[in-house]
Amino acid sequence: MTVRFTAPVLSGNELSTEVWRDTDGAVFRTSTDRGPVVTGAARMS
Amino acid sequence: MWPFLRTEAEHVPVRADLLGAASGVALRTWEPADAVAYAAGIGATRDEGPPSTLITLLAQFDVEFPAALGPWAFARVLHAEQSHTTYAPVPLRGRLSIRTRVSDLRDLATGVIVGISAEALDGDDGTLVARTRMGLFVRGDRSGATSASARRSGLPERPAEHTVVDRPAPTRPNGTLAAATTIRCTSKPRRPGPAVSLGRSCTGCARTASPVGRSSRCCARTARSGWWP
Repeated sequence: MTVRFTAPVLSGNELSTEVWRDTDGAVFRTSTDRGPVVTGAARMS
Repeated sequence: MWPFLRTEAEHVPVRADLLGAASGVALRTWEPADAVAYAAGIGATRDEGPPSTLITLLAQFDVEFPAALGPWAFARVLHAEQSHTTYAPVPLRGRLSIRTRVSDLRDLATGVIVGISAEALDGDDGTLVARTRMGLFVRGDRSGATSASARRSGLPERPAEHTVVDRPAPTRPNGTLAAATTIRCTSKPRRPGPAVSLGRSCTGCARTASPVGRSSRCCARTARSGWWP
């Protein structure tokens, strides 16, 4: 499991999380209206 | 509190020779009761079966930082990245040997990311059980170290298969959350009880409440609105 903060996450923002499945698990990106704030991946082997 | 966080006046800039600095070896042991208590504390339910190995691991995986870190000004440090990889099952009763080191330094335009990696070995046979890595962003510093360039996100170009939108509760002028918050709780109540306060155990099902949405519930009971003081 990997989580990376790409920008500060402030309170009061609407968060939209997109999820993509791939061959190893899934990756995700959480964004506010000002752009991505968190990306990450869950992997199983 | 992390021991290397101090005041601005005590701040020492990140140096390239920090790379490779390591902690001593920390031994962590646990019993099944520890794992169960921890699982309950973070909201596991009986429906989910026995505490997972990951939960067990998390319960014991507190970080022992290399002594060479810092001191850094508290206001300059942000948590930037976190990863966790397990390589072997973790038993409900066991012992881990954990060592932490500064694994990478990455200069960015406005600061430096200090990567701190921990390796957990089985305390009996030395098998690698897990690795974790955290990245701390230290604002305003540059290490000057030659590091790998920024990694790609690895996100696909195609539209996402699932999208979840989480709208925030309104915020009062004084900063407290004013509107309702959903407290997720799937257990059946043992007895009728009042609404649960965040961070406290539900009187109906004894689970610790956690906010996940916009209305307030626990044990399928509607609770009062508001963020509890």
